[in-house]
Amino acid sequence: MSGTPTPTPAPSLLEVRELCTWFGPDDAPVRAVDGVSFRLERGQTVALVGESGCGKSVTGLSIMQLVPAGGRIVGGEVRLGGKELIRLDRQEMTRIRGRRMAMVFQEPMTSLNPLMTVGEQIAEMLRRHLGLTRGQATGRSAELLAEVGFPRPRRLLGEYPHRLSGGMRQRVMIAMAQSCDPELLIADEPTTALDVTVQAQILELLRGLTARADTAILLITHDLAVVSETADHVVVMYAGLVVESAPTRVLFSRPLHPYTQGLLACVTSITQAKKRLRPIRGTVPAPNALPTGCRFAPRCPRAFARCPSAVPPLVEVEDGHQVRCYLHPGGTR
Amino acid sequence: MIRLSAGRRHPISSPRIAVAVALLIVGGHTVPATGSREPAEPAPVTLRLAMAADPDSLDPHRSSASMTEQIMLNVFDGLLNPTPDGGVEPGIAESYTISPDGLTYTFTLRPEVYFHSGNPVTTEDVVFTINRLRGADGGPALSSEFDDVEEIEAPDSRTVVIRLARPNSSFEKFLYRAIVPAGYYRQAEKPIGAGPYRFVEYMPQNRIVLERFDRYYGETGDVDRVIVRIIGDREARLLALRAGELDLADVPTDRLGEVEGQFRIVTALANSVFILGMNNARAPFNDPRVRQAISHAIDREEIIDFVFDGYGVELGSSMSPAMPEFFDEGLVGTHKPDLDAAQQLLEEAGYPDGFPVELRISGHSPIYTNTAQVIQQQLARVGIRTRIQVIEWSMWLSDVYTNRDFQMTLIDFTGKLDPYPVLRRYISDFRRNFLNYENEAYDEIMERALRSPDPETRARLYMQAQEILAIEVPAVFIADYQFIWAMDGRFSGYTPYPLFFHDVRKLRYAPE
Amino acid sequence: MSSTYLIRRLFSLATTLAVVALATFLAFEVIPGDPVLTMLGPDADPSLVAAMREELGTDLPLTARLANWVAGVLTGDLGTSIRYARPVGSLILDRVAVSLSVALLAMTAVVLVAIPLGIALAVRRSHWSEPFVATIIQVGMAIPSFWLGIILISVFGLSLGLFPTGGYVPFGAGLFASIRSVTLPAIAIAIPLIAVVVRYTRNSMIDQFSQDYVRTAFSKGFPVRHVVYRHVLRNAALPVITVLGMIFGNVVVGTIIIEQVFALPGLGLLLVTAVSARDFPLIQGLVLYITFFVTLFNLLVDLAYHVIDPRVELT
Ligand SMILES: Nc1ncnc2c1ncn2[C@@H]1O[C@H](COP(=O)(O)OP(=O)(O)OP(=O)(O)O)[C@@H](O)[C@H]1O
Ligand SMILES: [Mg+2]
Repeated sequence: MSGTPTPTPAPSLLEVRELCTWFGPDDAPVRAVDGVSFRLERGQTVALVGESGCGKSVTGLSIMQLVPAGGRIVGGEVRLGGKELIRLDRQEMTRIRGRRMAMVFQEPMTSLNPLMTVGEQIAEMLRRHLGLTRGQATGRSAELLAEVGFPRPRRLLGEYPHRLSGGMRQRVMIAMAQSCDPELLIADEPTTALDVTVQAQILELLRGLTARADTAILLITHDLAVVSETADHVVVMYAGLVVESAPTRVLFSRPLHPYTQGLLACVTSITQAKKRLRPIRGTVPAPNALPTGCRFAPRCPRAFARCPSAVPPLVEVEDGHQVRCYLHPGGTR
Repeated sequence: MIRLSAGRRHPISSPRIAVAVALLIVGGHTVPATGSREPAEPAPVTLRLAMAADPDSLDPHRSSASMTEQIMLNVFDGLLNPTPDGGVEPGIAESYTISPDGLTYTFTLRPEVYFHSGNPVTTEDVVFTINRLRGADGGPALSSEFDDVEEIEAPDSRTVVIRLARPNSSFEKFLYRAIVPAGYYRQAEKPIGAGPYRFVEYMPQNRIVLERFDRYYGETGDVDRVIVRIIGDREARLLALRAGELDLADVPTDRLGEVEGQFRIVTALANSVFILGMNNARAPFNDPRVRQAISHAIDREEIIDFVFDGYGVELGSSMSPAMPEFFDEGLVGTHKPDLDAAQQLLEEAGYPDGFPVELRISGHSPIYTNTAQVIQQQLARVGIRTRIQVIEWSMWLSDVYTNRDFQMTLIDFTGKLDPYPVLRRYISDFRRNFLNYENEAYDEIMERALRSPDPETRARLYMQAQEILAIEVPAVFIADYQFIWAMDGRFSGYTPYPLFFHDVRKLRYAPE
Repeated sequence: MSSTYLIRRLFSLATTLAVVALATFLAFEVIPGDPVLTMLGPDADPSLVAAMREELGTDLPLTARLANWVAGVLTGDLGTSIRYARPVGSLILDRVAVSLSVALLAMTAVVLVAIPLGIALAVRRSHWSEPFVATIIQVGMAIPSFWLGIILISVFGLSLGLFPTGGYVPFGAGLFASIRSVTLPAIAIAIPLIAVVVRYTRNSMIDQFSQDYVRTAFSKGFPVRHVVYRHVLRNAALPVITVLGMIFGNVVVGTIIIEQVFALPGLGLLLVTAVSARDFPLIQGLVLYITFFVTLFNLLVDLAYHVIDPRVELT
């Protein structure tokens, strides 16, 4: 329909396109993230799942523009509310981090500064981004700690991290990350270190966050039970690539990729889901020695002649359901 | 071969003459008119000089370091005072007589002589001083030089009479010892004397300050104030000198080039006897032929060139030409460098192939370490294999000097005004005869010299004693080296003495 | 920090001092050398030597001398120096100011220069400068202080005349002149140590930069400055403080050496003289003093550690 003005759709909150983050030397790079694409809408929760080492954390860190030393984003786009982040200068990025997007890291034991009190570490953020006074910041910090389930938050303010357990530190991290009501919260295995009751509490908290503050959550996890309870959409990664992406219900009911099928087959009950994902025979290929063609092919029970030829494209098989597999060359079967 | 080019040798061709002209060599510098004493200059003249170590004691009777004397002789006067030619002249005593039997010394005190405290010097002070030194004031004897004093009295207010138990020809020379106020025992903290400069302050390892004493009976020269900086490090002294922080400091011969144009260079014989000592009680050095062989093997000239850059004179016995009255030039070269003769003597003594030997020296002065290396090579030429062992000074004093535990060593004995203490070192039963030299004839000659009241007899006896040493070689007498002082060009009139003494009185100052 | 902690530390300080004193005493029992002879030299008059030995009691047996000395120390009397015929206590007190000004100035220079420099080198790291910086640091650490001292004297004292070539000006004679007289020695001591501390600070900073909490700080939206000064610095300071504590020992040794070169009448020069003069009371007094200062400084380092790092318990 030429001539009809097509209204530009409001941009997604987060759009990741063909993101590539490599480590190590240029001539033999470790392709930790090798062309990852997905999007995340306001208030939505997207789960990023996959075996250990498949590049989930690096994806999250790349979005934050906090790739560890030795790594670099070599291609792709990361757009937050339509704004491309990769080429932003450092100063602009500091205004976005913490305020518009925040991250809870996978390593709760070491992610807090050992020489600053819990209170100081939360308050400094409130003062920077929300311009609170010292007193206000302290008060608000205590509230935030209460929200993540600390019964005596005021007392906690003066504590140093080494006096807290891993779970407590993780909750402090979550309190800190959500303190400025960010639009996007990247939570890298936020419940791993926690016992079941606290875990439930945290998930409740995260859900509340999306509902109340319209915060979108990128939930990096291996816990499919958590995924099924929390996420709206699931992105499955394998060896630096997205292999399948679908709304949670669709993915759980009709997984298309043999890898996803393998993952789900392992979860027979919720209790077993707590185990680390090691569902399929063989091991993940080393990211600096990837096989040609489909990277899962060497382990795939249904691999056939075409698989090693080239990396299969990610195709949309139905609305919002994409898969990277030659078994699904396009369209619904 | 270590023979260096002898280009920088400055020998004094005839020591006797050189000494007679007071050993003063003035560097190529325009000499400001001396003796031009302008009418009262407004700015006080300060002489800043360096000293290498703290005084051993400020108390003149408890000090024996020549370095201390160098400064403190300015603070104290004796009954007699030293003269540049090695004699003594009237000081606090205006005149004196010695009885023909050499037993009675009668002094007439100069009127109007004051201590720095303001009190006049009286006969009581003189009697106190002598009694303190000989241990007759209730305390221990502080000097054996006064052992022969039998009695001291003051018959009237200007006369002091000292009677000796037996004649002592050296006694006169001992009388430059400081006269101190009677009953004052705090000399070590605040010395009080009757010399031309009074003591102001002493900060250990930092400085000593002296000021001109206006009531001094004699002339006091141009310098109003003396600041003695104590700088132990040779390099640091030299740097301070070159930076203009000092007016007078010693300069190592090899560094002379750095200061030559900028300063007036003063050289003077140290009146020391630098020896290669051998333990005469131990084989093979108990055989005089071995010692003579070594004496033939040592090339003194080479040592003087290499270690002192030519600034020194050869010796043949235990006496420096700085003591002209007693020095026998004929003994120089008693054992000329002669490897054949040395070899011959060694063969006769039963060491045709030489022997191994340890040379134990103190490391506190580079002259020892440098000389040891030269000697090591020289002795190797006759098959004597020298191992050099360098030890700390304090260890040397106890192990080598006191316990006599050594084979060969190097030591530089500083000069005295009198030949007796210089030659006494080889008397068999002398406590400090650390070379273990024994010779009855020598002992007897020395005793006769000491007791002989007749100056000529005495001089002849001391010459005889020296001859014995030259032939018997208890030690190889190497050299008396020259001291080199660099002095700011505004000062002149530096007068060397055959003992360590910066005579500040004699300095003249002329602003540029 | 508990009072039992302090008491324990003070007790261990006292023990250290006692052990060091006894060790020194015994060491000089074995090392040959006679103080009187060393002071008076080979030409000393035998009567004078005998008189002084008697007076100083150097002929007494070891136990008697040790007992006398301990009794003196316990009543606050360190005895009388043989070499200087003055009370050891007052000799040392006269010198403390000299050595302390050199040591503190050197220490201050190390802290003020090395720490910012180490931080700057860590923050502005670049590939091409890396080997260059490493080389300079290596060279800096290897330069002997006395040699540096001589160079400094020749350049700033002799050629430029900006500083005296040696000697000490007491505070009383003008603060500026006094500081000027200890500046070159302090620099000579400081330079090699600056190199050491720069390297430590830089490495410690770089090490801290890869820590997770730094990533957290950045994720919170703080600029580099804030992250460096509020977060990294304090963490990086911990190993640096340890090094500073160790370096104080080097500074003390450094002053002992440099005081020779600059003819500075401090504790070091006094100690060297005391040792070569076999001035036992003085050696003992100095060893006590120096040990005391070094131990005290280490205590301060531990306290500083505790103040900075809440994880460190003083027990
Ligand atoms: N700092 C780094 N330096 C080098 N390589 C890295 C670094 N961090 C990650 N990688 C590489 O990137 C790959 C992906 O790592 P990432 O941490 O993203 O895995 P993950 O999916 O988060 O695994 P896990 O479930 O264990 O957290 C790793 O296999 C590793 O080889
Ligand atoms: Mg991870």
